Amino acid sequence: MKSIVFDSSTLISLSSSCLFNAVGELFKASGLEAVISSGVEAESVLTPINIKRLELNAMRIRHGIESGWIRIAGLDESVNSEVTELAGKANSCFFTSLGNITLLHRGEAEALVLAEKTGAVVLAMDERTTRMIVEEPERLRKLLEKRHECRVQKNQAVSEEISKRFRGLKIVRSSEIAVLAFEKGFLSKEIGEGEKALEAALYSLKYQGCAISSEEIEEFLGMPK
Amino acid sequence: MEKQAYELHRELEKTLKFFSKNEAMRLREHSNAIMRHAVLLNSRHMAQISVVSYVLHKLLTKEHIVRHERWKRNKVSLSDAIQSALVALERNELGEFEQSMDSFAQRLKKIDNFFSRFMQGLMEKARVKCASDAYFFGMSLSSAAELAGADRKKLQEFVGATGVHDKERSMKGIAERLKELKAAIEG
Repeated sequence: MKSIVFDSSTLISLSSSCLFNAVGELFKASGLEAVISSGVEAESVLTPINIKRLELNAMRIRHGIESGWIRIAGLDESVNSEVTELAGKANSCFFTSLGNITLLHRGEAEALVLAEKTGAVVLAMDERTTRMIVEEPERLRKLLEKRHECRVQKNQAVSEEISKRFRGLKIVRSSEIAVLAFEKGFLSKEIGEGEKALEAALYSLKYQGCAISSEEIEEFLGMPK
Repeated sequence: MEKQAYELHRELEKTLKFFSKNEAMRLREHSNAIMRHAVLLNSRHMAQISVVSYVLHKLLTKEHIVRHERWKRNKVSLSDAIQSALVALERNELGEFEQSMDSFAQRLKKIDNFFSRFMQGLMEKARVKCASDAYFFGMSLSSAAELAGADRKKLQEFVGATGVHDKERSMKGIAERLKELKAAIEG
């Protein structure tokens, strides 16, 4: 069975929309499993299930776990120290005259290490900063420089080490998973068929916080299918 | 004063000054500037001041609150909590500073409970807004939520409703990532 590691951002985007069960059907039919860390389970199920306002999402995710398409992977002590080490490195990638810029949270580093350890084929991550640290660190440096209006430098050696380590890992967002579900007909029960349905699904994910631009959506919808 | 306490004191003092002069827009600008600094320093205390500045901005823009007969008393109460925090910083007592910030939040909650028709409190909304600024300044979602003390899910929704991702187009578009996804799971 092939696995896709889900970061909490992707889990939140999908479970907040009506696409969650359809994605579950896609995973079951395709022999895929979504793997989440125990930290993500705590953040997205165990804690919010006791908060009335957040209970519904937590129940959806718990149902996904119970029905078997989401698996929780515990991290042992040695992996935990790897997560700490990776987070430390990622947070020393960029610096200003004031010192290193702390960008990454332990949970996001955990998703990267989990993907590596479980041999996942893909990491699903809607959050942009972690993705940019791995895929396009120079663009992230420029973005930081622009936003902070000061010189931001990159620790080239550390940045290259991270990029090299995760070079083979493919990162997707909830948007790509939704498109795949759409193409395979799993969204039709929820939102019908046709381009308008796909457009609605993509914009719904965007508004749930998936790091995707309107321009990207429009460009994709305008492509010959 | 030690450097950290000095910087916090300087920013909180500005917050109090803008609040006392009812300068709502300057409070908002100040909140944004402090959050930028908080991100560079990864300073939770600085982020707290950003949240306080933003929440005071919001209060000053609510006519039904500032025109109410209780407002004068409420303003003194909130200013007193900030003043206590400033005194704590003058003594380099970060623990006391935090207690004063908690006291500010409690006082605000009372005001909020009296006036608000919403379930989500002003402080909670301010934390989410300030966390979204931290995300704009480059932090990851979870780091930004932690820095400002905001709910992670609420932050993600809030960020989704802003135009931040429209300004940061990813190097790889949907088609390219979809192709990679298909190759990975079907290959």
